[in-house]
Amino acid sequence: MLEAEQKGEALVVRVLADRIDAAVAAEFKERMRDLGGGSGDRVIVDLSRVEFLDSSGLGAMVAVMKLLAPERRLELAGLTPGVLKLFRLTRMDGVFILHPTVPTDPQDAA
Amino acid sequence: MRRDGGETGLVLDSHPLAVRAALRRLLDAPPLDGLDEEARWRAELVLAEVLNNVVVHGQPRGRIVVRLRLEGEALAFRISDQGLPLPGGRLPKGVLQAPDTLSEGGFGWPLIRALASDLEYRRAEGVNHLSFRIGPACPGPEPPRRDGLRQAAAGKAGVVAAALGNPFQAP
Repeated sequence: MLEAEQKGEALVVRVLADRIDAAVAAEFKERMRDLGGGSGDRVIVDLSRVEFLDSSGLGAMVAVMKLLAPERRLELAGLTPGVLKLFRLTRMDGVFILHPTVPTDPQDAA
Repeated sequence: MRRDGGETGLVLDSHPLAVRAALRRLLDAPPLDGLDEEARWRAELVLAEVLNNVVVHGQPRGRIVVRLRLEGEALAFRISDQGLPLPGGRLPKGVLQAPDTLSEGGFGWPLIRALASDLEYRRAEGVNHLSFRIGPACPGPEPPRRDGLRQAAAGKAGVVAAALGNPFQAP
């Protein structure tokens, strides 16, 4: 479901699933928790393959943000149109750091 | 899946994976397959929220029935299940919590209310009946709530409406 790579100070996590919904939200949270021990202070989740995210997926994302805080920041990249609309409708776009794509050099892109 | 006189019907088990499979079948068949991307997204999200609410909170015995038909330009949905009634026997208000409370839940009903219209709920003979429409325009988001008080956020809702590119009404 997830593929992680340390890039400088950032852990870049690519979500391989095309949906984060009620069926997998708990699993997503668990996998993210398992990855939480890396070094650096940024975690960038690449959502570019995720075509559909519902309220369960959004709740899991908030949970992961809270798991990582305050030592590590959660940033989201590559939101597809429907996912971005969900963040805007719930006004959670102001809570997460959103990037159009994964920053090519995460160290420079904070 | 069954089509009968313009009505599409689908019966599914009460399980998140069954919800996922049902969404795929409904979205890939008429009338949902012919909608534009925006309306399809709204239909998929509202259905996902409604059906997962039933699965997670209603825990129905037996299966969930989805019926839909095209009525003019709107999709009319009817969902029934034999799970627990909605709390208080009525539709939740679905007011969004302020984002900075970092609540992990409570997004479902605000989304349903923002994207669907003509929501109606009734309980009869142990069965929940929920109906709603997905039209060319949608009602738009309610302002968020902080400590039980609504913020005067009409301006912010307008920003959301602009972001979505939809003819949302200010609440």
